[in-house]
Amino acid sequence: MHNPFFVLGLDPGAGRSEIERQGAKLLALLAAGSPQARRFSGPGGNEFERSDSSVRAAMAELRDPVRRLRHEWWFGRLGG
Amino acid sequence: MFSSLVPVLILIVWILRWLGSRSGTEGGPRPSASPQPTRVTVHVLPVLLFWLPVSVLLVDAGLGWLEIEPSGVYFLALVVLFLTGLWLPHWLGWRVLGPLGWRRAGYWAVVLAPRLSMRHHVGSVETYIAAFGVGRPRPDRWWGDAWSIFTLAVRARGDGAEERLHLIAGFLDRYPRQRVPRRLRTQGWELLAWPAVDRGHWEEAWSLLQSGEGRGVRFLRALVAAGRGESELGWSGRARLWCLWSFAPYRRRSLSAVQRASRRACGRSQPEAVQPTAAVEPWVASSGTAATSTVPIGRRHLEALQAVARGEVLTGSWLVALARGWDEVLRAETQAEFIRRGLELGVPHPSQRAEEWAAEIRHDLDTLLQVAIAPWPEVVPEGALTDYVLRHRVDPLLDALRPVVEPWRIGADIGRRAAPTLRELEAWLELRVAVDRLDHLAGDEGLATSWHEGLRYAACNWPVFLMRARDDLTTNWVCREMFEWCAHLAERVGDPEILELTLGNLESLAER
Repeated sequence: MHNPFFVLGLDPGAGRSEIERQGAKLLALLAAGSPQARRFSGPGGNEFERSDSSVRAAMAELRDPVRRLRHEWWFGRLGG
Repeated sequence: MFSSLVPVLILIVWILRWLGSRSGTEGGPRPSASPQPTRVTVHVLPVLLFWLPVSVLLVDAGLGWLEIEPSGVYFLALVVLFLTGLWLPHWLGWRVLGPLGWRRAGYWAVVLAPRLSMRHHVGSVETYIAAFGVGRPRPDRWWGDAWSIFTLAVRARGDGAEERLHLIAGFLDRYPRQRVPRRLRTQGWELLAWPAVDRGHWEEAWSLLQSGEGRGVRFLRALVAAGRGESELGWSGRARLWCLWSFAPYRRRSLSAVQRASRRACGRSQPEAVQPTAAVEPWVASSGTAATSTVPIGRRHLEALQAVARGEVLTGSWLVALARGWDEVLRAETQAEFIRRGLELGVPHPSQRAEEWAAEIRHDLDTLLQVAIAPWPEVVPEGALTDYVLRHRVDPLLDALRPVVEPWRIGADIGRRAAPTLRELEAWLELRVAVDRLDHLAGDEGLATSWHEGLRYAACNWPVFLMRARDDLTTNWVCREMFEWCAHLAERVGDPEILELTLGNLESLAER
């Protein structure tokens, strides 16, 4: 799976509420058919497809502190 | 008049005796011996013994010029019939029944086919069994001649052991040509090359077709050259290919390949996909060499894992640079920062998590180690992961060698009873394949490590053991191959003691 910070377009410093707000916003945009919301930039500027399920999975990953720590750590090593 | 044939018969006998005397000078298996007499024999004998009598019979029957008496006609007809009986079962078995799938019938044709020598008869049957997968192989009957070595090669081909096949093919290249029966010089090489041709592995097929001869091999060479894109197939090239095909065996099997080559030449179809070559090029990361890269370490790490999942390999230098990069990342200050952030997020036992993830990185490096090939850098390890990679790069390869090498190191193998020479050769080839792989993946340093861990005993003592067990032409030839390989390794790793010993053994072998 992709690093949740890339999927949500957030920095590792983002707080819990910011993560939830960003997730909800992306889900709304996807539901409205926004073409910008359908894509996100991954490591190295590569473009990837974003979907409802990937947004929900990313939010779930970041709710768990252990998994969040891991993703934060990798985010820095992936050039985020 | 029958008496008119007497001078012709005398001429035939004289030419045969002359050819026999030329062939008799060939001597033992010396690679430099000229193959010319055998070739001449092969081309002249059918003319003298078959086509000449057939022509005489036809001319006499049609025009009556020769006015041969009925007894003369019966004599010539008998000669033709006899020779047909000698030749036909071989042709039926090898060229017709086996390739058409009537393997059992072909097997019996080969079994019942007359041979002037028992050695050739047994060799032919055993090679047929290996090639067409019918009948029960009898390794105890492998006499150790070219037939048996081809049998080993065909078995390696059947087992999918490409490295072993190419080693044996290398032996056959060096095997004295005049001691290889014509069936093997022609159809033997065709059998080895056909599977590669069928798969479109042109480079592999090309390397296997270099030593063969005959119309089948000539056709396959032309087909493979077209497949490699070596020759532009113009009008004349296509005509030549079709011409060679029309004289070649297995025309039905090869028709579609020739049609494809022709269509490619006419530009009516796309070129064939690039075929994998024997030597795999190491994967080149998008970031170039890791040591100088500014691309984040995590991305390099994931790219390398993806490349390995695609079946690619990478160089030891690249892997060591990656390990050094991780050592820098996982230094004490970063670990402390990681633990502090873990406490902020409420992660229980964050130091334990740090250790777990470092272990994950090590596990990934283990995966990459399996496919890393030489060159390896000469570096002093400055971190735990670099040290780990450098220490573990040759371990799996050395472990693979140990069961073969250890009995020689402790001297246990010296006391055993020698297996048939070709069985010993097959086992030795396994060792050689493993050492070649070690050399390819770990380079000089890996080779030197394995040499001093016991390979030197196996490489040096195996041929000595075999030489003491037997003294025949084939064993001597096999021992020479083994000694030459041992001398080559001793020279590479700088072991003058073994080199001197082996050169002395080679001299003793030459005197036998």
